[in-house]
Amino acid sequence: MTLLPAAETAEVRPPENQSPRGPSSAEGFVALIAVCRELGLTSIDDETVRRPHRRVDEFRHAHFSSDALRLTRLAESLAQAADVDGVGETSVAEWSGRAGRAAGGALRVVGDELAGLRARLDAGAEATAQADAILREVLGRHRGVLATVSRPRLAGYDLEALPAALNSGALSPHSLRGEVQARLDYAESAGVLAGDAIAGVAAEVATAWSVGAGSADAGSAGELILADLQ
Amino acid sequence: MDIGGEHGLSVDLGGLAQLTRMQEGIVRAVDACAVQLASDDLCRWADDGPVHRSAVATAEQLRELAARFRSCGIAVDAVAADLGRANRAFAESEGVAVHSIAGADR
Repeated sequence: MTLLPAAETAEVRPPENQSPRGPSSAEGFVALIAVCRELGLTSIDDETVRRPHRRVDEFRHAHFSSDALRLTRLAESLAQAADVDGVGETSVAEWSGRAGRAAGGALRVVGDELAGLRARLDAGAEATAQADAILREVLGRHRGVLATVSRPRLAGYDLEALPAALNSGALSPHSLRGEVQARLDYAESAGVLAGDAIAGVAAEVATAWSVGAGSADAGSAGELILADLQ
Repeated sequence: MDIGGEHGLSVDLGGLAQLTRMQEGIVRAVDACAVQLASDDLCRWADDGPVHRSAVATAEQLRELAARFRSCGIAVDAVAADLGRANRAFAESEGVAVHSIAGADR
């Protein structure tokens, strides 16, 4: 038995500022908050700032989008192949006698089975594509909120001008703390809402595939979240 | 071929051959669909948490659907094979009938 050094057997973990998927989407905001912390405007730590966005960071939207596209194309290609069925039925309808009746019966059985499976594939692919569109918007708005709260300008002052403004008394630390806290709250709620939307929409996609045609409304949860993120 | 009466039959051999080829095309499409649905590349949306669980559940459903497409493909393939055999049998019978008629003409 060969013993590996501890470094080779240890679980590989991403650095603190990264989710398993890479840097946190909130890194720009984390950097701003770090400056605010140095100025005594907040005591919140970096990890607490990142935490609400963890589920967003861990979600691989590119994979989800790729799946949605693949499944849609799959449903389309199968529809093209199976759409010749009508021609086949005409041919068999002109085939009389016992053999014709037997062939017609066999074709109907397999045709019905295939139609049922196609309906399920179509419904699932459509629900996944709808979910993808909703998630794209949810993530876009989440990015928008983070861009807004990360703007390096507080109370009308650029970040680098803040220390001087505070020292001169031109700015009250109390009002600045209020603005920093408001940004923290806004970012946190955006992260939580986006995370909830991702989880909700993914769950509805799973349900859409399990129940088959016409039973899933993959948009509902995500659309409600979108309204909250406005 | 068209013969009236209780035991008669009418069949368009060209149409039957076309129908057989169509069914074979459907078999190929259904098999390709089953392979894609069962692909390990799908549903890798997250490594843990509720999104991961939904991805796993979706992947299970896709694999189950793939299995059903595969079964359906086997059934369509069997029908296509039957149609092919029927077509060959009809063509053979037609040949025999033509030969018989030609023999009677001599």
